[in-house]
Amino acid sequence: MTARDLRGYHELNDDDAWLVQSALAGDARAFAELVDRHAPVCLRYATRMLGSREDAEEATQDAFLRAHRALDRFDTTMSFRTWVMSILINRCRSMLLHRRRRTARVQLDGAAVDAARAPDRSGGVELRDAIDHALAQLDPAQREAFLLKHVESMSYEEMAVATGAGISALKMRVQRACDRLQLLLREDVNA
Amino acid sequence: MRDHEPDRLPESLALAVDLMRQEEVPSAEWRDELLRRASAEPRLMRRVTLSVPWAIAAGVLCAALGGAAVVGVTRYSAGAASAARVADGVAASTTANGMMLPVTFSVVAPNAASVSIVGDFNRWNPAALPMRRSPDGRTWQVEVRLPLGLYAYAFMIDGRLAPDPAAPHAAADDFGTPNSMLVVRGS
Amino acid sequence: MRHALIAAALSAALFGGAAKAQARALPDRLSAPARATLERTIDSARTAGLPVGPLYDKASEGVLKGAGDDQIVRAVRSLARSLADARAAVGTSSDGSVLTAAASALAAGVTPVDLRRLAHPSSGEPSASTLATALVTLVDLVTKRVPVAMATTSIQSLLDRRATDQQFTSLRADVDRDILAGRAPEASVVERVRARTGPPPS
Repeated sequence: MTARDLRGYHELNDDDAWLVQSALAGDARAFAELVDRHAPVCLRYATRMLGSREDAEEATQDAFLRAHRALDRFDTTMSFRTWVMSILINRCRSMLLHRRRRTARVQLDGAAVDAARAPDRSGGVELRDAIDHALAQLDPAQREAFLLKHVESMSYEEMAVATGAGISALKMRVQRACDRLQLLLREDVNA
Repeated sequence: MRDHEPDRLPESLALAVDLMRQEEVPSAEWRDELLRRASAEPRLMRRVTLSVPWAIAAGVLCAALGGAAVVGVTRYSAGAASAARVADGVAASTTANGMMLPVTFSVVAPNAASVSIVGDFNRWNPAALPMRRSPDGRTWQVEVRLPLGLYAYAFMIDGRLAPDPAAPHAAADDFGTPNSMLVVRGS
Repeated sequence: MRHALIAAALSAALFGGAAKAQARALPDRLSAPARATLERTIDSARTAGLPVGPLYDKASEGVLKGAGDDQIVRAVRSLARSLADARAAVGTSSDGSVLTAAASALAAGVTPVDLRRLAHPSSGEPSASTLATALVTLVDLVTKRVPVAMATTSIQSLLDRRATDQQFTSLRADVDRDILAGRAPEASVVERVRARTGPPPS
């Protein structure tokens, strides 16, 4: 399964390809449009992956700049989202490797609490905190696979393209992540 | 024993995943900074390995040519001619080979000492078709009568081969230097 | 053979050395073994009914460009094969220019299936010169980093709409200008073809 087989995956794929071409032709608004379309998803993935909004902003900005630089090499039969996510995935991996070991707890501030927007869920903020903590305890490869599969709703085929890992390896990681998360969250709740 | 598919999220994680799915909205400052940095980067250009003709056409002095700036201006006077029509007042003459039509090749090479054209029509012989320098010294030109057909060719500028920037490129060359293509057509 | 050489010399004198001679010979600078191999290749091609002029030309080109004998032999053999493949794709009664252009298209990455479709567009068979021009334009676009599939589709759509030689030439000139202005070749091709045909090629 190659990137070409994912043609048409993203319903906006054709529009994205056109935006890429326009951006290459010098249309600055086209690139801004691409950013507006894809940055929220990227930022979300990065925030969950890195456990820090600030780090996520840095990684995502870096990813988009790299995409901007490499735009002329982008294969327009591929989904732009897959491509920019693959760059971001690498950025996040890099950041995790080079980061000093520290507890990956999300720094809760007022804005983050407001943004949590968990209307009728019980234990809103505490649950959020528990989730972040649990995610942080996952092996990075498992966390990555879990987020892509269940939060970003990628197909395994797309994930394979974006991560460079094989589909069966990815399935295994997702399964292990699910198992671990269930355990961790149950513990947390029971604690 | 697990019976859940890797694709299905365990029910107990549904709530957690809902929360994970909450939006992370980029701030206006973050967006502005990104766009500012992006536009500050060098101009997005197709990063074509600037092959010789484009370096030339862009006015870049190509070291490979020893400093001769070349911009090709090729006029195919045979281009729009029909079999019967005469182009540019020059008679199309016939030979045993059939129709031959006049074609003018021009190239701008102000610093060159000698320029000729080589190609399928003259067995790639650099001595066969020397080009003449224009009065202002910048342009070199030659007129050739060619039978209808398709020809690969290039300019030989001070001993070095250069394709014609204004002509269609041939497919990747067997020998490491690219050619230009000429279609001489009668209709 | 001798008469043909004289005729060639005469026409060279009369027409500024540009006439194609009837008799062809391999360049002197080739070694005897290379020459023998090439003669065999060319003879096979001749027997198969393929045009041999391009094969001689390729040898001359290689000599001028300073290629080694092995490289020249390889190139000529490769061209002979491409010409055969081209003929299989575009038809046996094909003009020499069309075959050469078609061989060039194959070398650039156009598939035989697509090549056949180009040679037989829905609007009916184009003239030899139009088809040769169309193929030369296609190859040119590919050398400018337009993906082969996109270049093929674009040229096909023009052929399907009976585009003239002039339209192919002007398309190429427009794309060249766009590239010089900094546009991406693909974006340029899409737009320029659209302007000539209406709805974009699918």
